[in-house]
Amino acid sequence: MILVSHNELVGVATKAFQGLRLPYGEADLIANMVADLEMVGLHGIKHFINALNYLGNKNNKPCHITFESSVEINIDLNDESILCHIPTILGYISDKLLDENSVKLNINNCCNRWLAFGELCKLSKNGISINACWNDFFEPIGIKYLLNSGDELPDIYIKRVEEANSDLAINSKRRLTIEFSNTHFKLPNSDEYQQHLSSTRLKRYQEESWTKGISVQVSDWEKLKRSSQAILVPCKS
Amino acid sequence: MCRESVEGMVLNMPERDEFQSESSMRDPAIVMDPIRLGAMHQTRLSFVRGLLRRMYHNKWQLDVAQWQICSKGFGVVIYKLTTPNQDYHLVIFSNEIDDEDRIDRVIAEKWDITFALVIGEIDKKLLTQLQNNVPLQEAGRNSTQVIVLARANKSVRVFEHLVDALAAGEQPEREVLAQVGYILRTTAVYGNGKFGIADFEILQDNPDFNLSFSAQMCAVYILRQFSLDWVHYLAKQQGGEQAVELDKGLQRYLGVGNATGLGMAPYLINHPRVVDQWLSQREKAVAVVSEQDIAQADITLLTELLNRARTHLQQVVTIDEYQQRLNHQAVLDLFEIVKFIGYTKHQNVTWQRQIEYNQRFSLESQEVFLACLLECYPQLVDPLEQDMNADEVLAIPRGTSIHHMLEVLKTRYRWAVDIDFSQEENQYWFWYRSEDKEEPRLGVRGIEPGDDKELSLDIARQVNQLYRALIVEPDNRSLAEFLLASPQYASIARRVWSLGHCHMGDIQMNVLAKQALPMNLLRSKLAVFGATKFDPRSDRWVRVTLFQGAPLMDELHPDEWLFPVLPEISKRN
Repeated sequence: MILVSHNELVGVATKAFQGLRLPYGEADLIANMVADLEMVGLHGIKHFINALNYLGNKNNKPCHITFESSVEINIDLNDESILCHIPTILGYISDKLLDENSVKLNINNCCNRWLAFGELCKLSKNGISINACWNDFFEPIGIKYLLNSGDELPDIYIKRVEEANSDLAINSKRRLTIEFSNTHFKLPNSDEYQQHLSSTRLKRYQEESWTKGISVQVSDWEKLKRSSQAILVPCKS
Repeated sequence: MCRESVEGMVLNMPERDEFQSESSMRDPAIVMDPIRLGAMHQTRLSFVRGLLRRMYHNKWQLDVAQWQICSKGFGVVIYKLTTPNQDYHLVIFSNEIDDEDRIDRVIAEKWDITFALVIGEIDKKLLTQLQNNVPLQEAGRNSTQVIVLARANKSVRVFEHLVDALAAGEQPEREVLAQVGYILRTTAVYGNGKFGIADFEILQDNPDFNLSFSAQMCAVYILRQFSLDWVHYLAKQQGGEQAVELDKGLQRYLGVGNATGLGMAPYLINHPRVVDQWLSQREKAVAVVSEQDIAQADITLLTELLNRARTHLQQVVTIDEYQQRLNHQAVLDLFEIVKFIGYTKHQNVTWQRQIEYNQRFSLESQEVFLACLLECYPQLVDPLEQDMNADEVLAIPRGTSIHHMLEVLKTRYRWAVDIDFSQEENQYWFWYRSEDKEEPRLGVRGIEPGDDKELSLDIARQVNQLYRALIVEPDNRSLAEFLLASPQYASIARRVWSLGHCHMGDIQMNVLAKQALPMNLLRSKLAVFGATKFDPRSDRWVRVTLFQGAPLMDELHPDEWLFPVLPEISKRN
């Protein structure tokens, strides 16, 4: 393991994203999304390294939006990472919430959903309550981020999704469903979940990351650093 | 700072009436003009000045905790810094290097001196860890106990001359000191999490170093003390009983040199709210002081400072002919300015009148005048130093329409909107990072390789493109909806909105333009740090001095030490 600082992580992730030379995506925000998740111990770097595979496809298109109703919106990300789009999508939803008390957003065909963490935290700090759910693509688990307005960090609930009961259609769509509301959500009964990561626990981990540094696997750090070197221009001979 | 709200979402932005004198703040088009920024000088708000005032008011103490230096000057030295809140240690490694390895650029791999500022005590384990890593600089790893990591090279000429002269019981040739102004020059001073050290975030609640760059400045200030202790020690080793100490005035005259290159320019472009905050605070100071009556001012102090500035500029040694001409012109202009003060002091006017009058003179002299004027009003200026840290968030509030954004573009970004980017000279340069230690460099577009990896520092061009995309959209369309469909503009839109609502906003410079001078960016940041004696060594790097003229550790005071002059020459004058 290696201890890295927040600023180092943000710097390397920014360069790694910039090295992809994509038409979309805000490098500073994306780097902070990676760091925000890593700082609370939820493997932001691993998710980002995974995301670099999707981001590298360079098939970026603006997201396709359709409306189920005035309060339910579908967005298709064409199998792209949410990284390039989630900030603008959330900006759009925030505007919607000026007219509506709640909005449901279904983001279909999207990757790297864990990384929505930091942007959702920003929104809740700005007064919007959030209930985000998705089923993991690789493991039979369902994840819920729950943030009530003003919360700095979410409560995270994870439960095993029985294959027989899991909604394969939803899984195959790689859907991220987020409910936004101007009023609070009721916290779920944590007994219904195999794992509950409380916001207090995340906060403790985050504080330790600030004071002691972020503990990262050397191999992941090296991969990230290699990706960050794509923007470098070889020395003139 | 307070919070502005646009239909719900809050965003940290300055509120227009938060400061009494904001109505008289100068126009950002004047202040953020890169040529004016390139004429800036140290003021009372500069970081070195704030640091020394804090050290004085809080009675910081500095002691040598360990001195293991051989007769050739190599070894380890540890200084202990004691504040009312905490002990810190500056750990210095002095290494033997070949002359050809003494390179000031970031690509260097060996240095005469490497050092680290550490929070708390140094035990054996930590010292070993520092010994194994600090001399490696970028190639090493450090813990979060380290808050500054830095290195410096000797001015061999000054160092050897000082040791030889003092060892022989003589004072050095003053001209040799005047040519250089320091014994050691730093080539990088890292803070904020670099190479594993502590993030600035964890210093936010530290009453000693909660102001940006204060820890870095403190490390450099202690290094200055080391450079003096070092030559005294070696002179004593060499000369024994006949060795003498350097004259106090000359000790004060020697600062710490610094070599800064293009690497500093991307920082200024990538941290626009930091730059805005620094310049806005300075402009608040200028605004409030400009409202003061001249008749009640300390004209004696002001004219003394202006005359000292003239001497300082006459003494600055630079190989850069353009800077020489600027300094020469400023000396002439300052004479005229002093004359006019003699006239206006009997009028019933405020300093605003003098500032307007000064507009006929060179920017160098105008900036010198402002630096001197601020010195006369410490009670109005000094409180502003507490608010030099910036909230770096760039965000667009909910409910923003395209009409709102176009208003910002038209009122605050006309300088970028009006550039014709179809003209080659307006996109002549591209910025890139070299494989050589990731050093930022400039290349000529279409001629030099690397423009496919261009850094996105092209703010003016992006603003221009955003404007062109928005003017064809319906005015009442939501900006959020536009950005959802055109996410390529999201980043620049956040920047434009945020900086467009800051007092000073973005630096008004197209860094791609053929005539763009990155030197101006370097100078403005160095002036905010408190550098003096600007000596451009090319159009891409500059040598300056920090803490030249500053009080020594055993004579700290909160008063001014602006525009250092060589002690004896100043007496003759």
